Amino acid sequence: MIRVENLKKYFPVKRTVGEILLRVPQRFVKAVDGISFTISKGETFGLVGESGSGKTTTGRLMLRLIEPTAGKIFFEDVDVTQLSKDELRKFRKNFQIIFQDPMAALNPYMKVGEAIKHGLEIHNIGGSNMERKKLVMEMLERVNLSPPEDFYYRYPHEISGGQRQRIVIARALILKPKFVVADEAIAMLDVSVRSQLLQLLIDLKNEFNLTFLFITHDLATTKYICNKIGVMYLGKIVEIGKFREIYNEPLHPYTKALISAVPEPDPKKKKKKLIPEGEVPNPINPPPGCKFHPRCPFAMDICKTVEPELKEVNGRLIACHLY
Amino acid sequence: MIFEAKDLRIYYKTKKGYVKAVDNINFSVEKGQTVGLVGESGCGKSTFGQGILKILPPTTYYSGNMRIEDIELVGLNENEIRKIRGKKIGMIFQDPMTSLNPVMKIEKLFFETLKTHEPDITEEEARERTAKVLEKVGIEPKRMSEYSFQFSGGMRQRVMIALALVLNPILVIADEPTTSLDVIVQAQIMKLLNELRKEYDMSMILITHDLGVVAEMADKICVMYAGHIVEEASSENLYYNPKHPYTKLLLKSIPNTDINDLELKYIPGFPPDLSNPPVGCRFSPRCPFKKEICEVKEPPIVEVEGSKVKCWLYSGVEK
Repeated sequence: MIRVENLKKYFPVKRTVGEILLRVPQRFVKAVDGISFTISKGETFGLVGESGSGKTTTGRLMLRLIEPTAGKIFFEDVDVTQLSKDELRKFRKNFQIIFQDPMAALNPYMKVGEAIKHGLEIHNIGGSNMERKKLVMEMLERVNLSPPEDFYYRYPHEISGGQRQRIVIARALILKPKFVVADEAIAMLDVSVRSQLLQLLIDLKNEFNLTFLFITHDLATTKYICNKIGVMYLGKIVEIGKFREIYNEPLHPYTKALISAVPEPDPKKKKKKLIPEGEVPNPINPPPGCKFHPRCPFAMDICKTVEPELKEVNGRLIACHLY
Repeated sequence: MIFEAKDLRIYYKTKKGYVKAVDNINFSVEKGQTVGLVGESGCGKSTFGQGILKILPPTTYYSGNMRIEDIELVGLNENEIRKIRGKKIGMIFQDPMTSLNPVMKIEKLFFETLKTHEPDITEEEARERTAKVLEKVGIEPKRMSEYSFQFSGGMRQRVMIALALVLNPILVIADEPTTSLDVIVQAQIMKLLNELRKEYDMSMILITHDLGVVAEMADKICVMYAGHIVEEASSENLYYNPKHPYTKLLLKSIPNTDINDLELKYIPGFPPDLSNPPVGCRFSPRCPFKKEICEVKEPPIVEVEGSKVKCWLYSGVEK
């Protein structure tokens, strides 16, 4: 249903006056550097990686909240990147986003019920005001904020973080979208609230037959909701495959590191940790060859010069010279 | 014993009355021990950590005892506690960006800290000691002439750790030290803390909501719920033989890496409002095993198979 082809987003780096005068060439942060993937209908695709890997930029590009530098995004055979502003506005009904921080995503001066209703007004759904209000009430009930009358007239600061995120979910889903991007939607919440909301997302996904792009840095939560995973590092996808296979046997050294870094509550199961040294390199000036090679324990000579292409290994795609 | 809290209460004064954030807890740390304090947001774990250093609003009400070595902390005034802060008890906060002064160079931060406790120290000496401790946490000493915003999140947290260690405190309180970090950086910082505590023979109170993090670091774990410590056990006992229903449910609700365990579990409901906590056991409104007495009388702490539990299920009193 969704096909992304060679998507790129380069952000220009500001030059100083001196640099402009000296004609220092414009440099770019290659936030997303040629990624391709597909998501079938009803599937949840997990995009995993550290801060700065480009996963959030990818999510925003998918909804065209920012314009891509190059590449195509097909949504049921419509190329989203070619839509005009007006067409895009109408099209937006089909895809929605749930942000990480609900306090920042909600207008603090707007009652939460009105915030949910606003989407209906923009897309002219539900005729009269009364009807819209009824739809909002139903939606509030659906995200387990009941009785809905208790919540409709409250302001975002008057409810808890978990409830606020439920409002954001309700606002995204009331338009009956086909595709939802959840960008670290549950990362800011407490452990038990996180699980409650994850369960809600899973239930809603099944009920509305949604297709999800689930962006997260926490591999452990992906197992409950994702069918497929893409691991990102410095703007590139380094491994894509069925979630179960990647989890059982991660192949790319970076994926291995990510999985072994998850803290283990069982004190006897002291896992052998494969934690790479150092930090993610500066994206303005990424290392040549494989971008992971300076931190990779298995790096070979070829990794320092030739950038590996994504190729098929055992039914999944991996960008690594080891395979 | 390095640190001990007895019948400790820390209440916030608000318009609605007192918020009983820490309500009658007993807690101790032995020399060289790392004690984990686990619980959800609002359970009082951070209040406790900050209460030890008395960095809470001045209207906060304290009662009970808190001792570091032989010094009683509860009655101390601001001037007296200032001699303890940093010197005897170091603190590592969750968010290093807001805890490090952005307009001071790193070396200046260290100099100020050292000078507070050792007024005669020269800048030269301070720089030497800073270099030594920065090296220990894996930062090149020459970076001390930079500002905190020039460091990445993980590096900033290393600076925080170095700043907490520079005065060789006997106890370090780490409040969610890895929560704002990425998984891989988190693992690096945990490894560093583990190495340092061995090297310095450091005692540590590790405050976190992440049972995975404490299990990898702590010798003893205290589980907090709504201002009470509901269970105290060794990390192995806590994982293999949890007693309190809250601990059991909390353990089940953390996502693990076991691919065959795909059922998502959580604790229904919300933690209570601490300005008006439930009567009896504070977990009773969410507890699947509650009995009549749980809603009437607060349970005592009893010892069961090496763990201390605050739950009526184990006290044998059915009245």
